Amino acid sequence: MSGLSTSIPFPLVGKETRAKAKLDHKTTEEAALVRRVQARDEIAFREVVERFQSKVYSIIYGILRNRNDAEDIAQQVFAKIYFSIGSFDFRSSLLTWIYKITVNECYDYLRKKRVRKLVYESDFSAEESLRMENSEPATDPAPANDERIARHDLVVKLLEKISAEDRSLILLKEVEGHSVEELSQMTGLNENTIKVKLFRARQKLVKAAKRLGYYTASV
Amino acid sequence: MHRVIQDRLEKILQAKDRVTRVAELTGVAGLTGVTEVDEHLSNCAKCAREVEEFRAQSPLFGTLRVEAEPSAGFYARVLQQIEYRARNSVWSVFVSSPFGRRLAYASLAMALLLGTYVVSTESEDGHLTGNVARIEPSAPFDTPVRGGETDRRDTVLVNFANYEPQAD
Repeated sequence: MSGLSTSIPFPLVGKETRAKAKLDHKTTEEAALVRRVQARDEIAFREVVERFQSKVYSIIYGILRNRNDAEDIAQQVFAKIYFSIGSFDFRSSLLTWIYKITVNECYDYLRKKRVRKLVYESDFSAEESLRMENSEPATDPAPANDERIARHDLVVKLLEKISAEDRSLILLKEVEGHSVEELSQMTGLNENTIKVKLFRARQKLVKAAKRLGYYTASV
Repeated sequence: MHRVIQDRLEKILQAKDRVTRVAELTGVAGLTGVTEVDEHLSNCAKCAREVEEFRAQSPLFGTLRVEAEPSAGFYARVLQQIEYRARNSVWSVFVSSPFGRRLAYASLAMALLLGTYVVSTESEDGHLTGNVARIEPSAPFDTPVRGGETDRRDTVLVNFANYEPQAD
């Protein structure tokens, strides 16, 4: 994480973002690195892994809260990057592309895990299922307050209700703290499109949260 | 939500209080923008409620924010994962497993057989022979039309079937 902000051409922060020169993702130093990976240059791939491993791992761990799972998914993300880098079209920044793959992998994993659990539990009686559910550790056994865990579980559940594109956009905005201008540069979409997408995603999240009773308690 | 709020929503949500909102919005819309937003939010209950609902989501996202590092030797494990995936790709099923190889050979043999059949059933002039029925002309196309009603109709049909335009 520490080396990331120094080595990647991250979008500018603060006053400098007001200079809205559109970033051409085909001509950056990062693009040259991507082209080398596309040509199956192993040193370049290693550089990509080293640059993004902390970021990818943090995103996954933030969502799954389990170190072993996070490690496995992070490996899968980089394997996916290796095999599908040929389809990277330079319309967005490499970070945005990797971010989207990472979040998608997390949600694929959660979906598969839920299906597996349903199939597995269908073989047991209701009493046995309940006993297993209570004994199964959902997260690392680190001490954390219940409210925080409940909020974490809720936001993970809510994010399932929106599209993959909206999900990574809202996470880049809310978790990574990028501004609309930065998101526009990172994704290649114009600022108004970003604003509209964020607005609609937020509306969907509010609707889903209301169904789960979140707003009766907090607003 | 009204346009005046929707256009500035991200800035409004970013701001913790009114003072920050002034600072955030000044660069975008000037002080008039801030007054406009403030006035609208104090007069429009629907927009104010929606803004509050959006703002209430922020603490939820905070729970996803962590800084963590994978354990040592991560790159080596990524390479192992890549090798594993490469071995288990669709094509490698045909190359690596004995059953896959047999299946590939059988498919190849079947394709060869089909190809041979198609080639052997094709005559030299490119027309299919075999079971395909062929209309053989029983008389040249310029056969004079004679005889009864049925004969004449047959002769006309044969002439039509055998008609070939004369080269000048």
